[in-house]
Amino acid sequence: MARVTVPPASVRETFVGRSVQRKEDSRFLTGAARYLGDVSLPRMLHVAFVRSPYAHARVRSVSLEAALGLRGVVAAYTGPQIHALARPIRTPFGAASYRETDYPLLAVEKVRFAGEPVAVIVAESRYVAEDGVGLVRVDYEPLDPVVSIDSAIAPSAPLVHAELPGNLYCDERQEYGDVDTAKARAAYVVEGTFRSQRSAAVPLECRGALARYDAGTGRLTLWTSTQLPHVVRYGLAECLGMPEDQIHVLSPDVGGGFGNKASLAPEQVVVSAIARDLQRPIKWIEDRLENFLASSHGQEERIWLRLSADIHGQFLALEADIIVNGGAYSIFPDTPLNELLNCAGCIVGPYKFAHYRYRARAVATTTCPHGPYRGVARPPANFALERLVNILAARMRVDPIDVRRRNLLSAEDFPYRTVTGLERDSGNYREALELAVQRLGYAEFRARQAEWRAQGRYVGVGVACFAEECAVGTVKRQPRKLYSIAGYDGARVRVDPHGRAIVFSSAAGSGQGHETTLAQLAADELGIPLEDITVRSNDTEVAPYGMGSTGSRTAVSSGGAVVLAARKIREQLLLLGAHVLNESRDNVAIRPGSVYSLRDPSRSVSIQRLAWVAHRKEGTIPPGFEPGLEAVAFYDPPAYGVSSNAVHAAIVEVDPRTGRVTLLRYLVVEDTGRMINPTIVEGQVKGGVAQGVGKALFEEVLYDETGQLVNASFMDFLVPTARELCRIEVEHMETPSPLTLGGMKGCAEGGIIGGPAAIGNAIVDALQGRAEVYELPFTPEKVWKLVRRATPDSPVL
Amino acid sequence: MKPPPFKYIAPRSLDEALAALRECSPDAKVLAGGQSLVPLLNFRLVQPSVLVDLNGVSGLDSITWDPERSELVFGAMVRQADAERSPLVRGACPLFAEALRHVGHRAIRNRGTIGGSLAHADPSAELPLLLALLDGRVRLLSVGRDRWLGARDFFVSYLTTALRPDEILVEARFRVPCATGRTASTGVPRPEAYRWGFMEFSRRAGDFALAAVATVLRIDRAGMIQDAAIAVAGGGPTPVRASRAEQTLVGYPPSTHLFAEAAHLVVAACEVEDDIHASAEYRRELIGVLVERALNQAVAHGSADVCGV
Repeated sequence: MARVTVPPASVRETFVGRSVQRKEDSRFLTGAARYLGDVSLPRMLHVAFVRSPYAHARVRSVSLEAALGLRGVVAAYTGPQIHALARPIRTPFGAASYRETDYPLLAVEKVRFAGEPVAVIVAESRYVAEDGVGLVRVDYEPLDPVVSIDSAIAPSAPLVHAELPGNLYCDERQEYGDVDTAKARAAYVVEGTFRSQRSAAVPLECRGALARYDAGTGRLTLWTSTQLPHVVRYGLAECLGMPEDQIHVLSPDVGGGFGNKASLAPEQVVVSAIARDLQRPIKWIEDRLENFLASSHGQEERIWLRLSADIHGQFLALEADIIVNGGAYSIFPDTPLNELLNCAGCIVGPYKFAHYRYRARAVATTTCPHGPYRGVARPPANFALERLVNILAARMRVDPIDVRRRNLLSAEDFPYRTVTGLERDSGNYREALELAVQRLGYAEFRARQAEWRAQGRYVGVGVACFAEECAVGTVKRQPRKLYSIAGYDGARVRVDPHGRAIVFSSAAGSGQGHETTLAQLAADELGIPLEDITVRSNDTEVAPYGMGSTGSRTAVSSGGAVVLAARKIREQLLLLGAHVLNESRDNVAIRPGSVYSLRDPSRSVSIQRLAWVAHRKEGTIPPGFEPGLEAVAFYDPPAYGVSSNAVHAAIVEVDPRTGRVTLLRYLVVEDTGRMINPTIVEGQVKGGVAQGVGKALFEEVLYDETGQLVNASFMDFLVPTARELCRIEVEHMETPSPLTLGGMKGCAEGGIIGGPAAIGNAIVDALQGRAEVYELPFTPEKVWKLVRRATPDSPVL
Repeated sequence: MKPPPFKYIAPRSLDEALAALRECSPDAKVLAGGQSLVPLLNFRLVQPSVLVDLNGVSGLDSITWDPERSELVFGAMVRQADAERSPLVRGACPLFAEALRHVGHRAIRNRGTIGGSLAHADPSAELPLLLALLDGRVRLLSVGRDRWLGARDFFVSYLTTALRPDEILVEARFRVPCATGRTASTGVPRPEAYRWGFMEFSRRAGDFALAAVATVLRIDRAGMIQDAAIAVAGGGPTPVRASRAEQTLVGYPPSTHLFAEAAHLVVAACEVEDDIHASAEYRRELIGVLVERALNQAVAHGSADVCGV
């Protein structure tokens, strides 16, 4: 058989699927990117917030007098004063037991977490504003704090909000199938209570906002570092009592988001209200301390999970009791229920469960509000489930790989919708596991492991399998009443008279490479080279209505909209091309750079020429042809989303004397559908893995019992660096989704999901199964204690 | 995270600096590399009204060797990175260079100074540990006063030293134990060489140590330990010098049992407390493990002499 050395034309000539260099890299890598901090306006003032030192206290009085007397201080506002200008944030959510509460812009009567803004100083510079903060006198009457999940649900717990009896934002119960009947057949029942720590997203660029109000037009412009410009605008309009069309929200370059910039912050509303009040531009750049104390934290969950299996290890039923620490306020637009119900939904994993019941509670505590963080609920859920699968395997005395082999969804199961309504549209669940086993050299590892143990080295391997549901459309969102979130995305494609294209997208990138991937999609539809396409986004004024970039949705959702809009232009180009070539519409086609005759491919007309003609610069257009080349389209992703899948595997060494866990290998086998740009997918995976390793081994937002955040700096909050990681091996599989345009699935969150379970399982394996790990992160001290506790009758050492 | 207002003075000479400090103390702070002070200012945890910047003062950045006293001599403003890379330091005391590698990250060491780290006196930092281990001393100057203090007298408590508000730490000396009268250039193996060990445990590379242990041993031809020094960072409010443990080692050949006993005594000499990174119980265990490992490393080092001069 002849060896094919040249790929077929259809592959060679497309941009999608190729690891083209990122268009945005040159400005990011040369320091030419422009962030919010770089934006300055004439007559601009700066704010600094007075933040509560107490976790829970009554605010008796706030005195701004001394601060107002400071030279350079222009104005100052207390809670009541700011609420005369704008309404507190309120977030509806469609769940029967959910109770709505106010999120004040500045505290009124009570503070509910250390770091909560109580007053704001407006000054000529941030320096003076901070000096002014030091002069504000607040009289607090301290109240008992409520810090942990366990203390929040204690019968005697103080109430964080009078409207929330039992400190419950919600208490949901659900049963699918018949758990008790299914359990009756169980040969094995395993259970455990798993804890996922409070995480912080810590984007390199903190949040911030710059508001300008134009008194002449009554319009407000808000530059802000956000993943969701349209959602911020929706919320801002409600708080300010302005129509949406009078508000323009846009971001310069965004230096990372990871969910931390996917909420409406009170500070964004405050600067907007003050800009309107003082009619001067107002700027707030969040510093790192504020970001730690008062932006949002994520993924703090306590999950009790029980898994029943038959004699062969076939899963029969699952039961969960999930509690999320929702913090002091219900954040917009997610509320704590996004984390909670995502966890309750996705904890069934890449398996088939017909019988499942859960109780799911979100509790209010006197800690920073709980918001989305990369992976939302999936890392904690995967940690609980995949640890429990290993515990089942240990109980059965079989290899944990084998238990997964028996239960993973297989090719003939697709499409499969979980009882909780997640679409497992397609994938390579079992194949990915087999590939991981092969790449790991699993059998050889087991042999080496025994040798290492004989030498006193404790090395273990762990895997975690998961499906990553992503790009959920509008249908599933409607019952949730998340009116601020569009659920779909929009794109406008414009080809200018010179044949260059601009793609305006409702996506809102924070470093993912959308300027490249969305251009790749457009290039293939339009026949226009990649270098002649630019992408503009992160701006409510230039983009059609849409959602933005969260939930691993941009490739599917914004990508879909770009494809649809570009196809409209493509059709116009074909019509015009046929006209110019004197052919019928059916006898022409598009190829890179031109429209050509199918009957005589040597006859063609360039896209540039067609663009020139379409804009009525020269030549004729067909009767009825609208001048210009511009189209808008919207794409609503599949109602129940789609699912990527992956296997993460870690090999670690444990130093039993210090408890130190060292990563020796980390392998990811993933299938994220059709890849627009494999290098970008790999970057997403690897960045996520670093965060997963952080969650497994290093990072934890620590509150003491009084509700003080005690590690609010990069000196004490331990983000892993390159020195703590090992090489990350990535294997791609590619199963196009039958449900999406172009076959794409999401890949932005998968990287973080598998780390906690894979590393946890590897630690247990290294300790010869004599200890189980239930609590993230696995700090050296915790592992050391496990080793000690494991030793009395069956010494690990 | 903006510092409060302060007056900034940039003297060109040590005399000017001392005069400025005398005039403004006790409300003045001395700025060296700024790797601790500037964050403290930005957090408004310290609010001095005057900052006296030593970066423009000449004559404080030399590294020399005092052969008579067998001392490495550092001007206070020697950057940690320069000391780390200095052939003199690497040759005279490889232990010193190894310990410096653990001070923060390269970018921090490029600015951070020898004097600054000693004056900041974080008990988990490497330079205070070295001062304690190597019988070091610091020179404290003020207008009309010049005094020397050893580690024991200089370090008072957590982030607290005997430095007076009008004094500047201008020089630090570290005594490098050398086998009698020998010089390094001969390349002849020295059976009585001093050997060293350095073990640090931190959560991430570059973090402050949860604990660090440095040791210097001299083992004679018969395989007996003749001299021993052991110091601990992270073992209390000041760097710990474990003299009882040192004495226990002398006169015996290295052994697992001996080192375990020494470790036990070192731990007993430490006063550790719970903090956000480690419980006292864990930190004690860690110190013991690091002592054993540092001692074993020193034995294994063989001819890798602590004194290379």
